[in-house]
Amino acid sequence: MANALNAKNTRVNIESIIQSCKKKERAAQRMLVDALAPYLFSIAKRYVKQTEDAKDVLQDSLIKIFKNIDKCQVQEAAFRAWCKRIVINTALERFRRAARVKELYPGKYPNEPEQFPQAIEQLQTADILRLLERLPEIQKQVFNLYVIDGYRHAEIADMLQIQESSSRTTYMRARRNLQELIKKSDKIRS
Amino acid sequence: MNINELEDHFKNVFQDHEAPLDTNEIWDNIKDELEEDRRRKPFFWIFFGLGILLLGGLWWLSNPPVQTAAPAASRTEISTDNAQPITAIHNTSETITDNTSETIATSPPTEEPSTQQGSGDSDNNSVRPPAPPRASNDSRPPSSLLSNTASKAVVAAADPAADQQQRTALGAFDKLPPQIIEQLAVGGPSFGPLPRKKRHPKKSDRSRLKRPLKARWYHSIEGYSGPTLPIRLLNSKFEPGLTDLRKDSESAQLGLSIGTKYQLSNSRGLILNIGIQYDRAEEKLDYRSQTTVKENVRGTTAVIVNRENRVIDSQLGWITRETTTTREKVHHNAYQMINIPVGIGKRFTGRKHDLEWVVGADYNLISFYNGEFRNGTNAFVELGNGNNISDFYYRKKTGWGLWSSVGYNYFVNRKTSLFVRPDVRFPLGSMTTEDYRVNHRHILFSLKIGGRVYL
Repeated sequence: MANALNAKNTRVNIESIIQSCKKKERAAQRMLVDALAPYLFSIAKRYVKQTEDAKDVLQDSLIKIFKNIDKCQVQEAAFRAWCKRIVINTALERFRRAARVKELYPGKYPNEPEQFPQAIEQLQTADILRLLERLPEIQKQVFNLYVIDGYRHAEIADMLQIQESSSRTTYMRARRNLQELIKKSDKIRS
Repeated sequence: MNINELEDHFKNVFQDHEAPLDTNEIWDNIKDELEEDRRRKPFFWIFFGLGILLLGGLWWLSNPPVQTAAPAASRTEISTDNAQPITAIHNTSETITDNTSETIATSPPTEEPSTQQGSGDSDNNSVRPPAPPRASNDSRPPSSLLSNTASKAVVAAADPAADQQQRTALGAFDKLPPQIIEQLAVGGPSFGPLPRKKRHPKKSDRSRLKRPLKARWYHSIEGYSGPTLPIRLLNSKFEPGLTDLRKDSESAQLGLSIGTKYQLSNSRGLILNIGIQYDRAEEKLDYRSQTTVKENVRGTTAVIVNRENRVIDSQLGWITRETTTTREKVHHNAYQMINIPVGIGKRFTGRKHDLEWVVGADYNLISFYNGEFRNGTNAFVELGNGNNISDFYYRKKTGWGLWSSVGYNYFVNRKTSLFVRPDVRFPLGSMTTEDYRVNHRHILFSLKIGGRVYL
């Protein structure tokens, strides 16, 4: 975890950086971006399809973080959790907004089955992201929130403004879909 | 592949995963916004300070300072040696005989430096105790005023006729009420008219005089609407060139403002109000395309007629026909806001009319933006994406705004008034369109016309 917050191979004390950020010191803000942005970008990419959109989510989140940094705790773990929550909320908000305007997906959605590595250990980040990409948006969100980010169904229901039972059902569907996708991948291989 | 193992693997992979990212690019994009935020704070405090000053000013206007009498202790310390010389009274003899407080107030006693002796350096703050009651045929100067030996000497040395005139004046002087004599002795009140009230105040009046009169409060509800014209301030850190293009090609249009307010006002002219208001700022961009098509068509190239001008033959051939088509499209953008305005102000009251000036802040609850194309006949142009909205719909709170208005009210009856009110709103935040990321800030000028009912 400490490695995640090292900026340019230099170990820095994240708590002192946060303290300096609270005083609106520009250098500290820059250091925090260097230290935290790759981690937050990874979270954003799981929720947003396009890389450029993920960058937008990250930028919006960082601005929110710096504007509200006075309200957060200085402890590293608490701060990371708080930042993660902000990124997820920003991504979900963006999704809701896009749904309202019926934003059209710019290209054709790939329907062809893809091939994934057979052994679980061989599944790299890019493979997982591709796999998740193939799930419907709501299933992807619930799966991300429940499995990877560790939220409970009650929390997910609150974040996505759905029923708790819907969250459970959606999660089960996401699991089933993932299994089917991997089976299809195995068939292609055989 | 077991799904549970897959889930565990996903979790492990993404636990502290860092995606490759150019942090310089991210920093470059956000640093301006952070700088803007930093700059905005002093701006806010300046307005906050101005608001406090304004509130203080209004409070001062509605609670003018009360003039207080000199404390009793200071009167007893002053000896008669410091009293004004009698010659000071001499100059006011003509007006004193009038014996009305108003006339006396307009001509306070003045001092002539040449006639002042000994105690002539007495200032206007010296206080003389009130003269005791005297018989009307006693023409002697009041003993309290002539206790100074030097003053007596001055009177004795004067011309006998002048002395007699002085004594006549002093006879009239003695007829004045003690309060007036006291006022004259101290040189009159510092400002304002002398008190008219002569009767002894009742107990109820006395208790009321100790504290300022209570202001009466009035509750009212108003509704209004009117045209709005925006002045647009555009900027974009993403696409500055586009900002210039928009400034050049788009024009502000008349929008609309509708709202209702609850107002609390008092008899001293203080106004407090709160309401809800819908503002719509519009802009438009004209597109005009002209297409000219040249085509060869079969047609009559020549006719042969006889002497009676009857066509007896015709010749067909290819001719060139030119068709010009003009297509007009108008792109309308509407920026819509729902705000909660809160204001404080001052009313300048007349009999049937009054004028009010209110300043305040408003909080933007919702902002949304949409764009649509219309053709030359103002009909929607279908865009093929299932709706008529050409631009993305963006919804954001823009935070606080400042506003000010000057209103003219005409009272139809005691309960109802009609008003017309020019108004200006300056938003502290801006709205951003989703597609081009141009920050729009609209300074709205509106003319609100409406009615108010007093509850």
